[in-house]
Amino acid sequence: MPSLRSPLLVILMLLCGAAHAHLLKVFAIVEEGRIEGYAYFAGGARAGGARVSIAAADGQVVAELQPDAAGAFSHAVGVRGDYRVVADTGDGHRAEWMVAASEFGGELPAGAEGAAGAERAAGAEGAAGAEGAAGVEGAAGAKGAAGAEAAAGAEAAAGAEAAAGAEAAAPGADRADASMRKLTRDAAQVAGGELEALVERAVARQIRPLREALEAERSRARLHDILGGLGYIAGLAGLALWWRSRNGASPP
Amino acid sequence: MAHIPDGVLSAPVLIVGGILTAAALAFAVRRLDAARIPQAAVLAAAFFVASLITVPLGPSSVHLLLNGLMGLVLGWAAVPAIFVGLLLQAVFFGFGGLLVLGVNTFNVALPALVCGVLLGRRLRQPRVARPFVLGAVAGGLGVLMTGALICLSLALSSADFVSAARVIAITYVPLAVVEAAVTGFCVAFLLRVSPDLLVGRELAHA
Repeated sequence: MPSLRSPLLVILMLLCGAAHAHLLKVFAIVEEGRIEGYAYFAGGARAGGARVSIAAADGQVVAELQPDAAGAFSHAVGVRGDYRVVADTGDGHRAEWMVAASEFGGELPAGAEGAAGAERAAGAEGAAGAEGAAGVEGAAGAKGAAGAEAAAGAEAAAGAEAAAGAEAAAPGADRADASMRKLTRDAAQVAGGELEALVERAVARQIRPLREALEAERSRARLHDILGGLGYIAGLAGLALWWRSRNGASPP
Repeated sequence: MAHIPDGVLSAPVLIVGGILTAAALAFAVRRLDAARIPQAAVLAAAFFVASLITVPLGPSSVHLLLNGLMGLVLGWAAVPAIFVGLLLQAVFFGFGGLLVLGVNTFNVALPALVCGVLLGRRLRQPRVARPFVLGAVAGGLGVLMTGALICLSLALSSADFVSAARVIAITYVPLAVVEAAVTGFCVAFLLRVSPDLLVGRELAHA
């Protein structure tokens, strides 16, 4: 069958150029407390018409999303936890992606509070801690960590406090010193949490393209997959022919 | 599409599909003609590879099925060929899943068998009248029936039947047109160039 070899070869060459598979996939990542991602077909084409739902660990659906034309979606989940992102084109294509609780930074509560309120609370705490710390030895580290605006506020506060401290008489100095030390410790802790969140965010942003590339690479049909499959088919055909010829040979 | 992944269909549908496919496979393998095996292998290879060339269409993406051509040429031998093709696609490409292999095979192979029974005889006549039309009918019929069977599988598994039917209608009707053209061209071309590939050597020279 030489006449069939050339079309097959042409098909194979086409595949090397643009191997579009039609496997639906979904990719999702946590960015600043939001689950962001997109639905796509393995090989690259985006699935704009898919429906995406996000379900919490207990199976309860927290969001039904309609991605844009490029298949992208974004949803702010209020609570840290494991989420299952499911994309569905309605005709039997379906894909899943798990978002682990560990992907969330410290910015979301593990409980059932709203996200926005929690974030605001965290910001306020940070500012208060920095204020307390500014007057003492640990100030430099805390300032560096807490971000520009918190530091600016802290400096202003520190000036006021220093003035107040100068006015206060010497007898209170011991007690003031102790409370200062405690405040320093608190501030260092809060600044540490803040720093961790910043680092997590930056790292997540940096590795996102890597994760995307890895995922795309993993789901792409590769030439050796194709050749392996064709080899299996040829082998099975040979096996069947051998079996037939062996069986057919004894009773002619 | 023809590759329903794991986790979409309900257990009764999976079990019934598996049993039907197993029965059809057992029957087809028993009456498999040795002269058909090379043909079946070539078409299984084409079927296996065709799924990689996909075109985004509406909310989904489609590719050629070739089940009309397989049924027309292979008859019952199309069942093991399709099964092997789908199995290898699931293993190598991740299309479909192993649990739904029975349902997927059934959805693709039953239309192939219908094409084989209805139209196969016409292909084996000494002088084939209008080979393009014959191929086109087989190709279109194969795709449309597969679409209907996928609809049925999804409808039996979940209540959200209307949206599935809509998406499948949007994607399968254009696909059926393309598939009809491709299958028609294949049949006409192969009959002219190398008829023994289509109808088997002993028949072509009889």
